[in-house]
Amino acid sequence: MRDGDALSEVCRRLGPAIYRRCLKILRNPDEAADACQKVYMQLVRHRSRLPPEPEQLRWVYVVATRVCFAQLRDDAWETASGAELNHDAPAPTDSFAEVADRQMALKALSCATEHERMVAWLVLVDGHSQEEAAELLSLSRKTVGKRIQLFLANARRGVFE
Amino acid sequence: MNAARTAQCPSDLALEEHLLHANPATARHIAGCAHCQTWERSAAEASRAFARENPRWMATTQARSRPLPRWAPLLPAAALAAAALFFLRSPPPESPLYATKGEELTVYIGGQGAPRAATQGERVRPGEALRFQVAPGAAAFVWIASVDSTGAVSRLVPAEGTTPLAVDGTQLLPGSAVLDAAEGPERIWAVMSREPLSWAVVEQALQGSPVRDSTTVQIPGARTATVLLERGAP
Ligand SMILES: [Zn+2]
Repeated sequence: MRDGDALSEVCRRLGPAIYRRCLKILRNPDEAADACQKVYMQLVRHRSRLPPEPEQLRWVYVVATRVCFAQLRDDAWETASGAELNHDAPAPTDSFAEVADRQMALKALSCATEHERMVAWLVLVDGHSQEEAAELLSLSRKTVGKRIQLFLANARRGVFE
Repeated sequence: MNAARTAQCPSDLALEEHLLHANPATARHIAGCAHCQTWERSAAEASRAFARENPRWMATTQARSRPLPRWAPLLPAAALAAAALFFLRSPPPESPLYATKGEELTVYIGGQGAPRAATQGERVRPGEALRFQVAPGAAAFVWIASVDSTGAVSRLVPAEGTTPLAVDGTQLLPGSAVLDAAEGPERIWAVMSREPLSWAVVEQALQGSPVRDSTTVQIPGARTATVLLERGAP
C-alpha cells in the first residue's frame, strides 16, 4: 500500500478521534492540527506494523497522547509566571475559577516530569484506571501508582500551601 | 460549567470506541450522565472542525515547527490541576484555606486579591465569584443552591444535567458562580444525600424558605449545610 493510501484510509476512519484527542490535550485548534499531522506521520512510518483494525483506535490514542505531551515541552509548562497568565490566556472570560485553577496548576505542575503529567492526565482527566494507564503506556502498574502519588503529592503541596 | 466526571463514566478511550462502534451499555450511561453528554457534544463539535480543516492538513502532512505560543500549555495545565484538585482527598489540616475547618460546606469568595473562605454573614460584592468545597464525610451526592430574600431558588452546582455531583471525601467542586448586582441576604445550601435526589425535590424544599432562618428546611433522606452571605457593596 502506498503512503498516501495508508494515510487516507486510516485518517478517514480514525482522523476525527485523533483530532479530538489532540484538541482535548492541547486545547488549541492550530496546535491540535500540528499534533495530528505528527500522528499521521507516525501512522505512515508504522504502516507495515500497524495492529489489526480493532486495536488501531487504541494505538493512535496512545501515540496522540505521547505526541501531545512531547509537544508540551517541559520549559513551556514552567516558564510563564502568574502575572503573565491574565495577559496571555486566550479565554474570553477570565473567570475566577479559570484564573484560580491556572495559578494552582502552575504551582502543582512545575515539579512534575513529563511522564508524571502524562500518567496523571490519563488517570485523572481521561478516567482510566491505573491498570489501564499502565497497559496503555507499557509501564508496570507499580510505576503508574508511584507517578500518580508523586503528582498528587506535588499538586497538594502547590495547592494547599 | 462542565459537569464533573463520575466514577461510573467510561474513559475517553471507551467513549471514542463507542463512537466508532456503538456500545449499548455506554449509550445507556451517556443518556443519564451530564459529563458524558458534554463530552459527546464537544466531540461532535471537534468532528465538524476536523471535517472542515482536514483536507488542508492532509495536503501539508509534514510536521510544522512553529514556536509554541506561551499560553497553549497553560490550558491543559489548568484542566489537569482541576482534575487533581477533584481527586485530592483530605488536605493537610494545617492548610490556611480551612478558615471554617470542620464545616461540611465552605464557600470561597474570589475577586480582587486572594480567595477567602466566607464566614457566616460575610459581605460579597457584585462581580465576585464563589466556589464551593464540601466535606460530607463519606461518599454522597451533592447539590449546591442558593435562596435569596424573596425565597427564590437558584441552582449553582452542577449547573446542568439531571443528576447531582458524586463526591467522596473533601472536595473543591468544579466551576464557580458569579454574583450579579442584586443586594440583600443570600443563603447558600449544600444538600447531601446517600442516594441521588432530583433537582425538583431540592428546589421544592428550598423554595420560599426564609433566608435568615435555616432551621425550617428539612429534606427527607438528605443532610444540609448552609452559609449566609450579605450581597452588595460595603
Ligand atoms: Zn459519564
